[in-house]
Amino acid sequence: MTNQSKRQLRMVMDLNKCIGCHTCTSACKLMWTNRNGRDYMYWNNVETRPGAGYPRDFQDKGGGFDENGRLKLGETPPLEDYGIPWEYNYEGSLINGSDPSLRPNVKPSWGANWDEDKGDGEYPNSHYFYLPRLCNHCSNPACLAACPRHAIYKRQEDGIVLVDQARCRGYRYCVTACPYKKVYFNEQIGKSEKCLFCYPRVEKGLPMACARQCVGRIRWVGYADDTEGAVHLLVEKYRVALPLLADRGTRPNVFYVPPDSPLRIGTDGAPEAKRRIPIEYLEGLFGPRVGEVLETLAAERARRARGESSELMDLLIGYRHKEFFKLG
Amino acid sequence: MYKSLRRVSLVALAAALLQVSPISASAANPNALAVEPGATIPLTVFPSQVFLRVANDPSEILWERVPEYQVELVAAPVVHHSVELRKSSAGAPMPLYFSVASDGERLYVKLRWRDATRDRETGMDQTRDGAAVQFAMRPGERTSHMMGAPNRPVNIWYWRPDGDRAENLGAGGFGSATTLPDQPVSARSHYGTARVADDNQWTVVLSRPLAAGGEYDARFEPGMVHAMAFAVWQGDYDQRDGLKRTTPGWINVDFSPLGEG
Repeated sequence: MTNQSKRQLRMVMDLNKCIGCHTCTSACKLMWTNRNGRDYMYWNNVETRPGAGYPRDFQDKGGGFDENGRLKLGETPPLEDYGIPWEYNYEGSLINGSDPSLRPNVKPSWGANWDEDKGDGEYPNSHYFYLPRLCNHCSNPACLAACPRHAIYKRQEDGIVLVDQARCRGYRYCVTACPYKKVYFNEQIGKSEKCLFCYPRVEKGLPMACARQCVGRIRWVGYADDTEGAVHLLVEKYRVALPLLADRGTRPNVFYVPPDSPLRIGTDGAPEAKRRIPIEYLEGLFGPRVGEVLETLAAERARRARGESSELMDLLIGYRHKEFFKLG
Repeated sequence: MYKSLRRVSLVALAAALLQVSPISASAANPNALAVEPGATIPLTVFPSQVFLRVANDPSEILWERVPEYQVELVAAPVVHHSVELRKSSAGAPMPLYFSVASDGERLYVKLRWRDATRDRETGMDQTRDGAAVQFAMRPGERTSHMMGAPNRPVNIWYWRPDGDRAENLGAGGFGSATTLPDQPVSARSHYGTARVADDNQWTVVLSRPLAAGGEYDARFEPGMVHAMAFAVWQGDYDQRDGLKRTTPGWINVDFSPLGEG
């Protein structure tokens, strides 16, 4: 591919370990998006699945490439689908007492995690899991292909996809083209902005804020060509980390270890053969290899339970935090 | 009185009467002279004793004394897949009315076109209206009327309704429009509403000092014949970038009257 960089930084997230605490989101927001027209943006968000996602129903908004590699038209979500940011009257209600109650300045109707923990299914088979999402820094970025001004580029040294703010004229084709809706339009400056993979940190050998702050220690960061690194082992060797919505043709560089779940409970109260999170649902997100991955994880877990060694389990447990990040 | 105005008007009138192609009386608007790409029109020079109280005033009555031309704008040829995907929003051909004048210090371009909706802002899912005047950078040099070409740049004055201002841009091919370091172009607009929304119209006056020193600022001097082209974006159709209606070629402006004032 012409867009291929010399090196590619990748991230792997183990969804079995995500506790949905939003510390990643907070870290990102405080660092990048709590000001200057970015308030509504969550470059990193954590959504509950099954759920509408962020922005609402982004999966149904098109974008990406068709089977012939041609850009597909998508929809541009309105602000309501991201959630209109609101603020509280702290000053008036809590400090000087001029307002009788603490209330938001807009009537909240939707937000990035509006349907948090809702999930799907009926007791005792109700289920959900958390899906943290950020720009996938794709090897074939639809945002880049959609920009007629070459304002979006992929860095050769690490494959990070960036919007050149000097070139962007706010056409918003990129917002529409990204099947993950991870490019955002800043109405205040009239330009598009997106996750930077924290390149100023990466350039100093530090992991992204979202990865560094993750209390569940679910995120690994490393270069695709580092065959000793955890990212390579999880994606290429054990093949347990899968890209999100790979059928959109953008070749993402963020991968997920799909979530396992307990077996379904039948009407007689006994476990059934199927997992509680329907495999079809997971396949819709992570592709046809989900079942195979879950079986690999189960087999390795069983090995470890028997007291045998399992490099994969040791890797996923992650005894030493520093080993999650290989940026040197 | 108003010698140069009268002279220009006479030339235009004669051309109209003789049906000299490619300038002819407009069928749609008998007060405008229809021009085709390739035509050469004279620059109108305001007499020296006439003075514009407010630069770029779209309601300036003096414009009534300046010949108005009409040119057909058509959907710009598609050059990028992002535009191809949206070509259903290209819009039907439409007339643009324009005048070109100078007071000896500034070059003024007045544009007028019908637009049923006034779209002033750009948001996540809304697009602003817009208009642009494009000049070949160097008189006499042949370059593409579609954003110029590498090493044969064009100078673009882009009017945007948010803030009612103009941007001075340079370009050397598709997708290369670049904000120039010097911003000597100014603009003002008026959106007139009519009984029927389809008759609402934008009037925009853009201007720049004749002398501008930027490397990519078009040079305007007496005796030059300058190639000029226009573009209009309809925000209501989500038009931006190459999704626009343009003159399908250059219109030449003869700057000779500037030296005769």
